[in-house]
Parts: sequence; structure tokens; C-alpha cells
Amino acid sequence: MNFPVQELLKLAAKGGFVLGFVAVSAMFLIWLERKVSAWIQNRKGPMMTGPQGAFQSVADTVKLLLKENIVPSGADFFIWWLAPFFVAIPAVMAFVCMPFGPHHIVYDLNVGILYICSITSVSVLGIFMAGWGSNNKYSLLGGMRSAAQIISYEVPLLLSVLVVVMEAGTVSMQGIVHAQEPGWFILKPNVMVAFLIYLISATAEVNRVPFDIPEAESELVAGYHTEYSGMKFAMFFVAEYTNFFIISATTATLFFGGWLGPWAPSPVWFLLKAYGIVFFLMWVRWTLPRLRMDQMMTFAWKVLTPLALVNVLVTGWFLVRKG
Amino acid sequence: MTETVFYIIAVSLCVFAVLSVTVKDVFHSAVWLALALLSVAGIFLSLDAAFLGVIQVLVYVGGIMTLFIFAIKLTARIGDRSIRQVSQQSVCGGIVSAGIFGVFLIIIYANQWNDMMLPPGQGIGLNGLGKALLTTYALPFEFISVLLLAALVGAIVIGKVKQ
Amino acid sequence: MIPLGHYVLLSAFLFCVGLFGVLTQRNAIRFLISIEIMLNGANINLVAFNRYFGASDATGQVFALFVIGVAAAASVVGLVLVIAVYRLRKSVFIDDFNLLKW
Repeated sequence: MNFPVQELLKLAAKGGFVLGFVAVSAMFLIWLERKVSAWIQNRKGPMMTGPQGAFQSVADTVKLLLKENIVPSGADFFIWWLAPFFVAIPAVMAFVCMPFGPHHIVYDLNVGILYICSITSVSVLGIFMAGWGSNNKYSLLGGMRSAAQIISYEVPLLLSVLVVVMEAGTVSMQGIVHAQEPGWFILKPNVMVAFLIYLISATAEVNRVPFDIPEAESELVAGYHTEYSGMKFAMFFVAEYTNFFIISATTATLFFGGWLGPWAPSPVWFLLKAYGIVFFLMWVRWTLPRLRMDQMMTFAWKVLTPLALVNVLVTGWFLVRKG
Repeated sequence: MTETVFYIIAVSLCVFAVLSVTVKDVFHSAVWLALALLSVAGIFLSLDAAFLGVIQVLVYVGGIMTLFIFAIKLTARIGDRSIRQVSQQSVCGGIVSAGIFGVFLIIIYANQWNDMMLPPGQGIGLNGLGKALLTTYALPFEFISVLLLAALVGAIVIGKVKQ
Repeated sequence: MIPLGHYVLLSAFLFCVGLFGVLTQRNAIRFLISIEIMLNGANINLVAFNRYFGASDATGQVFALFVIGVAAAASVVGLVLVIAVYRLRKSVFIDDFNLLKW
């Protein structure tokens, strides 16, 4: 991988754009979540700050920046301080392989989708560090539960991604999108099963309801980010919503054709599909109750993993039979 | 420019590894190890072994570090920081390590690997690696799965709390 | 252009740092951490030689992949043993595991 300087400057410009997109997207998602939840719960949501409360996220950001930065006593300062970085940096790094359009990708790694899955698994460390460094039993419990949940749901996640990779014949993100030009992968029955498994596992990976035991508001105070205030809490929050967008965008790319679509510019289609899945997951969040920890682990190991393995087997059989 | 990035990653890898074996607190040691493993993944990327780098992050940082962290949490004790972490033979250990590093240096300079440059091309690539794994190296591949299964079962059996 | 010698130097340095850790650590978990550092040094060596010499042959990368797998298995069993011994002897320092000493 050798790059001339000009190539590197182009990459840096794309990276800067990605950072800007992440910031704007996180703020938009926070506002969208509040509006969608309000609509589902038959109320209005933020209305005061601008039309339909559009500047609410800006107001929230300013508030968080101005808050006092409290360091818990007895906390391991080094670990406590480093944890938000371990959670926020992988969330942004995953955008390197996100295909917004046929040429709108920062760098099309030939192991694209695997890169995204591996980078999001680094956040386990950050969550556990947040739980440990806070010197607080609720945080530690939340951190351990979250780590166990994330590593358990990685197995069905990767197996369902394997089904898509087998169908596409390539691991790179642009390759997977191009392989869907004859037809979206979701239309094949085995990939439909893989889509369900992927959606459930990815929701568990980013700690969203019904899998948000680690940060359950009614049980663990706020779980692993109890002891964070101000900008550090903002980093956790932004990382969570960025991860949420990443899994929706990855679902759109793997199963719904990514940026493929007629008579509109490709990034529009990509964002439309990604935000469609975001809306669906928000709908799920405000409808379903939370799963208990043991129910969650049983479901991962005893239901999803065997189903995903059988699905891989069936996909292999279909592909061999096809020629 | 790529060389600068490689040297930055390599130097930081060395720093992280040294910090990992010298800090007093075992949890800090694990965190420095996680950073070192991420740097090794970066080195793999610079060697055109993208798949290996990604697997390194997934398995080592995502899996093995979680194991280490759980083990540290289960065996932590108050007052561990005041207990001496390094044995009394640290000087001898240092001399032995430095001696072996000296032997490595002699080997490197004797074989003139410092003059050898990167051959052109992209290396073996993902397709070649997959084919090799399932044709030439199919037997070790199966052995690894049996080994991992044995490790899994053994860990569960040993780790059970005796009722 | 990065000469092969620099990669081998890096790998040798990592190996020796890991070796220092293995020889001097009292805490069993830090001992296992040092072993991981040694294994990573070996992996870098394997992949570097594969890239510079036999770029049409995947042996180095396959070997490195297997080393990662074996290291995972070794860490699993090692850490579980450490936890089991901790339950029995309430200590992770290898100086305290001296029941078989003469």
C-alpha cells in the first residue's frame, strides 16, 4: 500500500468530510429519535427550539459543553479518561469503508465488511474500561454485561455477514454493492434469514432496546456511563448514535443494494435506505420491552448461532447447486 | 509518506509493548497490550496482509483482550499495586533479553536484509489466501478447529465452580 | 521503501520485550500478556518474510493465522487455569505456587 502525497491529501479531505458527516449525522439522529419516540407515544417532542425543535441538538451540545467535568473519587484516572476514546474512535473509523456512492468511499479496502465488524468490536474494551474506571458497582455491572452481550452476538453477526459474502463472492463493500446489480440480496430466501439474524445481532451489538440492559435507565442508573458528565458523556452519546447509523448503513449496503437506484444521485439512495432502517429500529425501540440478561444470552447462543450456522450450510448448498 | 506512517506505528508499537511489561497496575498493562495489538494490525496492513490485520483486531483485541479483562477482574485484589510486580531476577532477565536481541541484530546484519526492498505487486491477496487455506493447508485448518474446540471444552470444565 | 531488515528488527525487539516480561513477571496474568507480545513479534516476522520473498505463496500468512488461533486457545486455557488456581490459593503471584517445591 504505497501512496503518493497527492493521493494522501485526497484521502485526508475525504476523512475530513467523514468527520463532518459523523457530527451532523449524530445530531440529526438524536433529534430524529426524540421526534419518532414522541410520534409513537402520541405527543409532540421538542418544539420550542426552532421549527419542530430542529435546533434542539445544538442546544443539547452547548449544554453538555458547558457542564462541569466531574471526576469520581477513587476512580482509576488513566482508565476512566481513556475509555471514551476507545468507544468514540472506532465508531468514526468504521466510516472509512462506508460506500456512499460508486466513487464516494474513503478507501475501498478489499476486506471492507470484515473491517467494519472488527473495528466495532474494539468498543468492547472501551465499555469495559468505562465500567471499571468509574469505581462504581453499577458501572462495573453494566460494563461486564455489555462486554458479554457484545461478544456473544458477534458470532451470529459474522455468520450472517458470511452468507452475504458467499453470495457476492467478494468481501469489499463496493464489490458487494456491485454484485447486487442484478437484484438486491434481500430477495433471496436464505439471505432474508441472514438479514433477520444480522438485524437482531447488530441491535444487540450497539446496545439498543430490546438489548439495552447495559445502560438500562430503570435498572442500572445509566450503566457504564453513569460517572461521565459534560463532553465525555457527549462522546459516549455520539459514539452510540454513530454506531447505530453504521449498522443501519451496513444493513442497507449488504441487503438492500447500498447506493443502487434509478434516476437519483447515488448518495441520496444510500442515505434514504440507511435512514429507513434507522427509522425501523427506532420504531422497534419504542415498541418492544427490554430483554433480561439471561434471556438475551440464551437467545444468542441457543437460537441465533445454530440458525446462522444452518443458514451458512444452506447457502453453500444453493451456491454449489447453482454451479 | 507511507514510510513515515509505518515508522510512527512501529515506534509506538515498541513503546506500548515496553509499557505493557513495566507498568505497576495489571489493568493498565492490559490496556497497553490492546493498543500494541492494534498497532500490530496496522503493521500487517502495511505489509498488504489486510485480511490478517482485520482478523488480528477481531480475534486479539475483540476476543482475547476481553478474556484478559474478565480474568483480571475475577482475580483482582485490593493492595495489588503495592506488591512488587517484577521478580528479584529482573537484572538477569534484562541481560538475557538484551543478549538475545544482540544475537538477532547480528543475524539481521549478517544476512543484509537491510538492503532488501519491497517486490512489486500486491502480495498474495484474499483469494489466494482463501484457496491456500482450503486446499494446501486444509489439514492444519481442521486441526485448529479441533484444538479450539478442545480449548473451549477444557476451559468450561476447569472454570466451573465446584459445588 | 521500507527494507526487510526494519521489519525483522521490529519483530526481534517485540520478541525480546516479551521475553523480558516472561522471565521477570510475578503476576501470572502479566506473564500471559508477555507471551502474547512474543507471539505477535513472531507473526510480524512471518508475514514480512512472506511479503518480501515468496509473494505468490500464502504460507507465511496462513502460518500467522494459525499462530493467532493457537494463541487464542493458549490464552483461554491459561487464563482459566489462573482463575482456578486463584480460587484455591487466593493469589495470582507465581511465587506463591510453591507446593511442589522440595
